[in-house]
Amino acid sequence: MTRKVSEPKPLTLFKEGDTVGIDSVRGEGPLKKRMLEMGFIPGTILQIIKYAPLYDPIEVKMKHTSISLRITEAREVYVVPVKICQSNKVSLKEVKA
Amino acid sequence: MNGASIAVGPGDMKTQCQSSSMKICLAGNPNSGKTSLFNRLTGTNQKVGNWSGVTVELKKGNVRHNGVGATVIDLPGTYSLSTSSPDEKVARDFLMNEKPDVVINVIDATNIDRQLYLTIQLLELGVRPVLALNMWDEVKGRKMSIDIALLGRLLGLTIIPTNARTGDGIDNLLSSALDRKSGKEKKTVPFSLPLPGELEAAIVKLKSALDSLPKLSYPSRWIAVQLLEKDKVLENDIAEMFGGKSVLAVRDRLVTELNRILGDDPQTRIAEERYGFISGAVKECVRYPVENRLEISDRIDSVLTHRVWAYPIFLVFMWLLFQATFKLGEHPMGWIETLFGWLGTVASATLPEGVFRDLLVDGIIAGVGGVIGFLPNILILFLGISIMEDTGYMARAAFIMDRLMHKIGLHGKSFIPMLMGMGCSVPAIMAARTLESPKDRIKTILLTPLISCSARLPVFVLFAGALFPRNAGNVVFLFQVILSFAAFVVMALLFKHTLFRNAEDHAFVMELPPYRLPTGRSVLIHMWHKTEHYLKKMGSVVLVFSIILWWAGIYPKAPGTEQRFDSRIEQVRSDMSMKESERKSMIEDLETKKHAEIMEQTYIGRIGKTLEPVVRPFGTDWRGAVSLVTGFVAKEIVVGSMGVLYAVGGEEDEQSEGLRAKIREHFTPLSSFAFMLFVLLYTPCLVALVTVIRELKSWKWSLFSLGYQLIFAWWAATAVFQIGTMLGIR
Repeated sequence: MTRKVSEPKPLTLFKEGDTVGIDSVRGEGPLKKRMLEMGFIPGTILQIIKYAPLYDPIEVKMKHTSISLRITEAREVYVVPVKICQSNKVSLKEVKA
Repeated sequence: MNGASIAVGPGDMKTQCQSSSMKICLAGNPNSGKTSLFNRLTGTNQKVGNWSGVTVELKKGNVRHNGVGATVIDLPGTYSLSTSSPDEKVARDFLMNEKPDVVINVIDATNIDRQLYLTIQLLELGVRPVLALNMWDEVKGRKMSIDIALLGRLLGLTIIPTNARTGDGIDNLLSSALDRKSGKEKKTVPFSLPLPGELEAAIVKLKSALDSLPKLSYPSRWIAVQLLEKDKVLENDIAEMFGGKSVLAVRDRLVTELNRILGDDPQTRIAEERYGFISGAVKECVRYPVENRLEISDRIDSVLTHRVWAYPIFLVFMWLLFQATFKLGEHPMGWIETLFGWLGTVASATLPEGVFRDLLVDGIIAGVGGVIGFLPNILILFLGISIMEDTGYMARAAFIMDRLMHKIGLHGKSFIPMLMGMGCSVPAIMAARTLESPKDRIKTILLTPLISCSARLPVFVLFAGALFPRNAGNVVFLFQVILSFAAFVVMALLFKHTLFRNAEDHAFVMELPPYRLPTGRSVLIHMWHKTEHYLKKMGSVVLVFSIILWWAGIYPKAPGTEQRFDSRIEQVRSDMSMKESERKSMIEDLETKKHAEIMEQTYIGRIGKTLEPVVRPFGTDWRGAVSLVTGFVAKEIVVGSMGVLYAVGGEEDEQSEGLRAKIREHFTPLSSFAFMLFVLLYTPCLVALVTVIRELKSWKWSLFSLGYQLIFAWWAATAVFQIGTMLGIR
């Protein structure tokens, strides 16, 4: 099903269409707080929908919701790639053991 | 200390609405349909009110249901109740200070698992809201299912499905809200989020430390949780209290310990637990359909935010908005002008000559006409903006424009005020309301007046036509577009690196709501409120200023001068030795000289003359100074004033050859360039200035706005003139 493929990397290192699982939100202060409140919590599956035409901000899909965040914000989100089961269904098993 | 985290602002002083009628407030996420529900509940019966402990005005409206009256207050849309944004602080302060009888938590039912986060926070704060599961029709349409009865039992809350677009469920919602009032007396124990043992132990320790502090305005357990989550505002409030520093020291120790035990920071863990609690409840009650339900929205997005097509499409929308606002708005504006012109004529014809008539015709009627004249623009612009917001396109506009605008320290949404500024600064400044963060809003309001509005065009046409006849078009374009945007960017960068250098960037992260069809009702109510606000808040101020400027423009009268000229005109008229045509031209000449001299003696004339040393460095004489002063009323007036001051006679406009000749006499290409630069950069007009004051809601920032534009204008004009002169340019 799902397994850790590599060390957590910033979200911005992934491409459009990639599916990733959140490992942690780094950084400090109000931004981190806001990210957590918006649902960027460990174990959540994200799909990178697209980068804006000028590559900033970035749009991700979290469950059923599209969320847009600036690159500076996305850099604080550390993720691991998630293996995609079947054709295009995402395994919702938590990434973290 | 008046309690932890209470906004101290002007609102504190005015505790309005202390009537005994019950208070219902609406809380919810930005995309929950909360405002539509508010509009549905209160209709057009809405006002803004000041509330204690809250620094901003909140909308309120009255409802009657089964013979019971209530005031409904619309809180700002927030994702949470912490203080990572000012809106959240407003919502929280309101809940704590105003203690509404009932809180209705509006939730987009199709997005329930995210939006319950706010509900949990309300529960933690000891508020038991009535849940309005809004957009219920979409739940059914998408074959999603929510077991309301079970969810209600799990959360211990009353849940009512609603549909703000059609009004379904509104009656039920009101009934439950009013029922709640009767059960208000039972003080329920604040809901406690179930937390793992280590966290719970830390909270208990921190709570007992907090209990040693003087009176707290929030439950101490709640403060303890917020402190572990590092709520900055609460932290500062506690630090200021006697003994607060030691509590924070306890907190820091606990956080370090928890980091070690949990292997994760408590901030993340608490958020995780909240979402965990929600997903536990949602898993039992909510069934999502298997297929991707956002498919249509995604397909629209693949075009509207497409790498290549996004910008052309956006520009087309912006072009349409601009054309509708200013070209379509021209016609009703013309009718309004005609109407007020006619009123003026009627009043002049019927009333006896005198001060009262002048006041009524030139002061009041002209002033009111000036205010109403902007109405068509504002109505149409806000119709467009409401449609953009309600469909969800506004969030996409921010998505595609943010990179560019953020480079100069602004937000993607700042683009709309900037663009609209090319038509008229007044609606453009009001358009800055779409920005949520106060810092972004202030910056946008400060910068928008630099974009040259259409009223400045006549001045550029006059000067370019007079002194750069061969390149008139290019010179006009240079000022109207290129220099104007250059000034915007330069000042934006300057603000970014100076005044707002330390301003923490407001988190941009936001939901991109699915595309939805707007309802006519909601769009119209939105549009009406903006317009009503404009009329009520600004009309009177503009009127007072118009009267003052009118008065300063004709007083003190100079009866001596008038008599001197009149008697000479009489002499000429009765002098039969001259030819008819000769006599006529002499009389005309005397008339224009008379007007010029009378204007010189008015207060505005005197101010202009006093200001001569100020305008001298950029190569303008006192006449230029006077016309710049009259330009505060409106930029078009600069041209008219010059016509009077340079004694050209007759009704002058920017195309008239007589005035151009006079301009050539008094200005060199260099000094006209400097003069145009000044006109470009200083305050657009009185109404725009009042709009800035009203929208900034701060005298400090308003004075700054006026001051920086005058200084920037003077400095730029002077630099061009002085350097040009040094280089031998004329």
